[in-house]
Amino acid sequence: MVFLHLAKRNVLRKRERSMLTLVGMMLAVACFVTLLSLGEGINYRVRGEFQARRVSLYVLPAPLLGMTLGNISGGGNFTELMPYNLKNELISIPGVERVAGISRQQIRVKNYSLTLWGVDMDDFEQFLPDFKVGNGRLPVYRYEIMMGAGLAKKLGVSLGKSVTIGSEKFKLVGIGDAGGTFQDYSCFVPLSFMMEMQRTKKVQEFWLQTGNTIVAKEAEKNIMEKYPHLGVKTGNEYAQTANEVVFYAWLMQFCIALIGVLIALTATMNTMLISTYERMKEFGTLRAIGLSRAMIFLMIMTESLLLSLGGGILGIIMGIMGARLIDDAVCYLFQVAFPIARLTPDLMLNAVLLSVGVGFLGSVIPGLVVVRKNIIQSLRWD
Amino acid sequence: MKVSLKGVHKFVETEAGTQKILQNINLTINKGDFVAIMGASGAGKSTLLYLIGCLDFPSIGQIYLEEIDVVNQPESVREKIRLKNIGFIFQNFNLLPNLTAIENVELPLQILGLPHNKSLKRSESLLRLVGLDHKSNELPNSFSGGEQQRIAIGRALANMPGLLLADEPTGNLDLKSGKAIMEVVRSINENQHITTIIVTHDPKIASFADKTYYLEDGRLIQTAL
Repeated sequence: MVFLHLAKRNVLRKRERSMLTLVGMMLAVACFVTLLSLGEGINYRVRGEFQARRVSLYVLPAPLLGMTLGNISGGGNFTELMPYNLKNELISIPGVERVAGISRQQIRVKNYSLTLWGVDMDDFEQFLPDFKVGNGRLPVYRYEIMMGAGLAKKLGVSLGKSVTIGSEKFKLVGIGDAGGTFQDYSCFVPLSFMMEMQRTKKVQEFWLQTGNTIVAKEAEKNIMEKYPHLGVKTGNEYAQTANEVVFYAWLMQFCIALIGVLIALTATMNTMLISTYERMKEFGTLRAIGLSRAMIFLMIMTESLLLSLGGGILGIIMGIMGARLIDDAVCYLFQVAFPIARLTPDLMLNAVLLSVGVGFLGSVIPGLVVVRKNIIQSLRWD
Repeated sequence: MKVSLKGVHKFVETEAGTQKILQNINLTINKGDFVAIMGASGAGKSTLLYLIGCLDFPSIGQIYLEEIDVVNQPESVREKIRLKNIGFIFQNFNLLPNLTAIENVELPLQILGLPHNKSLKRSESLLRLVGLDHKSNELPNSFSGGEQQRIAIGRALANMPGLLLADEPTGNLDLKSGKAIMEVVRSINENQHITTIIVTHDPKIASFADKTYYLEDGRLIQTAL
């Protein structure tokens, strides 16, 4: 493997230049890992939130239809509400099997901004089956509260302890696990007590379960006809909107990361090109003594890959640290309890592939320049 | 290795038109011969050497190394011929600056795929032959010009070539070093019977050869014993 040996020596020959290329690559990959870890985190939590729900139809006041994501962003500051007793009418619509009233409110516990859910507890397990109450039970009385395991850990509270929200003290009666989705960082009270706290008999949403999608469509039509002031969305439409938002968020982050990657690619290519022009006579000598063009191309590619992969691995380490730093900064600045960034094996693999890709592409033009050059031209190069 | 050139022409397209570098060269060099090609600067000496060494193609004509028509071989075959049968010595030594003396000598053997212990042993013996075995692990820039050319000779001999091509091997050396280098080349030719072609403009250097050919304006106009 003579080309490997030569490539290694060539990389070490101009240490300062190699080091700067390595640093450039490291920063690009770190930027890629950090930014996309945010996208991965948002993607995972938003999609996870919708996948965790077993909701066929969402019924909202018509003006709120365009605010779908208010529900997952912990909003709940809706001015448009629906009377709770509408539940009895909705359950009587053909095909509708189950109806739950939902209200949310933005609250502060310690230094965190959280979502407090008011849910009909009778139907909690049917609508949110993935939220496993592994510790304690569902809250059914006034001043009882349940929260996700992630939030309980963050707040440092355990079962039976009191949690202060505003001036009220709640008893933590249940801790559940929802696999890292938003629900893991939310808390829940009975809907009746939520309405009591809000001094209203109204709710923000109704969640409906129907037999299947055909029945759901029929029920949607019936509701729209009977209640023109209400808006209805199917679970799929709701998830679709979320997917679009997640996609655009990811795309934005990807484009920013791509700028870094393109800069790294240009820098690597430039370094390799300068390096090959400087060594043109050496390449001519190598070809004169019998090294094949393929081996020379491979040697240039190996040099480029050594630099890009080395920088890439350092960049991944730096990206992991960057993701944690941004996570802490976002949690501190926006006072959210859940982590934003998510580092996945796929993301790491993509970062490695990116490094390899940059190394490969960075060597193509310099490699072609060298192997296409006539041996005599190379030997007489100044 | 026997070398034959038949009706070799080399033309180069320039802005001023077609330039005739070599014209109708017919030449046969037998196995083990030591030949010098002389001529003024720009006479086409190096071009002729590069054509024989499979580094370039003639515009017209055939070149045979032994019985192989090297002009009509694909580049992959010409690469193998260069690797296995030809040793090059350049005016500027052309050593790889980031490889030590022994690594430079070992390079063709590594390209050939020889096991490291065998290539190392051969490289050590070659450095001994050129009198530099005591500095085998030093980089080329720590050697004098004469010493660098000796390393280059070691590298040229590494693959036990049948043909040794030297392009102005003493051009960058002082008189004493140049003479020493030529003595090494001469002894290699005598002891190993390697066909040796040397390009030079210096009659003193050419006097080491058995035969001298003169090139003038691209034509081989005179031969002498």
